[in-house]
Amino acid sequence: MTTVSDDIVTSSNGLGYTSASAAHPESLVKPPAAPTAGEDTIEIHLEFGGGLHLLFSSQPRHTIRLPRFVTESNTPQPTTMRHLVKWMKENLLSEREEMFGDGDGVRPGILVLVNDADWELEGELEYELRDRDEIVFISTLHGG
Amino acid sequence: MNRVEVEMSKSSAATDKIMGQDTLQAEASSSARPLELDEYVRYGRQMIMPGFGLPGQVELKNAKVAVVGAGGLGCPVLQYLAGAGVGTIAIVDHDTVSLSNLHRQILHTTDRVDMNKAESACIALKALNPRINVVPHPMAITPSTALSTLAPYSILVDCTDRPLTRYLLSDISVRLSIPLVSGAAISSAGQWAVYGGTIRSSGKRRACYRCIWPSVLPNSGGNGNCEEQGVWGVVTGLVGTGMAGEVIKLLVGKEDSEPLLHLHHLCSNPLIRTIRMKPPSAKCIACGPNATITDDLDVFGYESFCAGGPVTNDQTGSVTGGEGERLIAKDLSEILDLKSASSEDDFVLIDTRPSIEFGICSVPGSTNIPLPEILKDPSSLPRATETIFICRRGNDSQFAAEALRRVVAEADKVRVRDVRGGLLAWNREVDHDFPIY
Repeated sequence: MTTVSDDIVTSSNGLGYTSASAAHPESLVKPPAAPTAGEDTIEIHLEFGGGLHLLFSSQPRHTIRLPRFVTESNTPQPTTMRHLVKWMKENLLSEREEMFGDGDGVRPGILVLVNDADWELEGELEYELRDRDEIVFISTLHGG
Repeated sequence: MNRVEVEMSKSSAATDKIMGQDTLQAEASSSARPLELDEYVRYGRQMIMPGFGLPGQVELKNAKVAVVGAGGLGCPVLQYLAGAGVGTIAIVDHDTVSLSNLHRQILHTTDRVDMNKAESACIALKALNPRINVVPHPMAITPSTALSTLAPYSILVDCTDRPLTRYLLSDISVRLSIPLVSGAAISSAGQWAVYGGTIRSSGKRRACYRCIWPSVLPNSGGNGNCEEQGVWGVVTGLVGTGMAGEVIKLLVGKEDSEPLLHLHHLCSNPLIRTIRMKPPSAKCIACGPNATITDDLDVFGYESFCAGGPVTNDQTGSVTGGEGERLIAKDLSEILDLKSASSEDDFVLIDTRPSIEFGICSVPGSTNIPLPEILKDPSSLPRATETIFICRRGNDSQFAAEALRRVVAEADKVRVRDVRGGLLAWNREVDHDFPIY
């Protein structure tokens, strides 16, 4: 049962980034942005910090595709954070829903960032997602 | 503190004199100098920086900063504030230095193991900079005493390690209308920010810690402690250094014009992610228009608000366990001796710790199956008429034993027990040479 890893960083870090980012230093140099989405879909980058990755199959980073528009009462509407949170609960969450969700939104104590800003600065659930948006979910840490 | 106040009034009087007099002549007189001669040398490298200068140094000298917690975050904070010449620094910590602190709590020394951390840090700071006034408070910060202890200070620095003190310090910063520099670190991750108080350039209030983190998330990876989850010294070091930087920026009026939260992970790219925080929350119970928290902090139930993890008892684990469900380390030792003498193979000793910890030390003859694997499928555990679980201190082993008991039938006639006090007890009662980490 004992596994000894020679990678000191990946074997002992308990809060995400278990291998992907440490093992791929080439990602330090970002390739030029290529068009990633078709006309009908957008690409969204999700990241989990402060231990929240444990709710999502212990993966700190996910890249997902969502439809650009969702049809509500026969009218196409831009996809919003409300749709994303719902989609995550249905498709990505690996633990019980109440550990992440609260109504349409997320539990108090989870901070949601849209492109490096608190989502409350961006319209919260009504924020309309754009291609290659980066959405980060973090919880607070207490160690010192 | 009095000494600094006297010096303050002396130096501002001296500055007035300079303004009205022949400058050269005034500078020749020692009473005209806001700093001692050696301080010009000591702080020279930072004073010559544009935008800092003598006025910046005098701001630091006159400042009174309270640092709560002299551990992994507190040590770098204190070290840089003292080095930079912050005139009065309070250090609040009730805890004593332990050997397992020293990989990250770099102000303490091997000689000072068992000394109070506030006292130990005080010795280190005085050696570093005898020109500053360091006030050790070797006591715990509590809702009933915190406000009066911290009232004399103009900036609070939260270097504590649990939710209760974090929310308490935030509430005090709101009550005193002073900024709170709050940081945290665990494992490979850390975060820090300035909460509360007013932004000098805009006059706007910052969100308080409660505005951003209105409730404690139980069972999230972030709220463990360093003893359980481990922590890199460089992570607390980087976060603490960032926090000291925020304190210095606040003191010299170079604070961020919009409140920022910094998130660090040792393996992330970028190494530090900086995000814009929202303004104060109208719903905040500490700083909102309908706030319910008052100066009487004792009436706010911090304990129940923060209740998340179980309280651990080193001797027994958090739960005492039912009749016959637990055994003491000495009994395990006897069982192991008996089993090695006989050839019977109907006994299994399972160590439930993470494999990385099992690799550090283990009881001879034990098999490592980490708790999450056991809980996932207890029926797949090796079958034996006698199963004993052991862990670091006798908590996880109870969960494992409980899980196995649920899947074995009465008719199987198997016995499932766990070791009270775990490996700590094994060290204490059986093998004093067994490593404790």
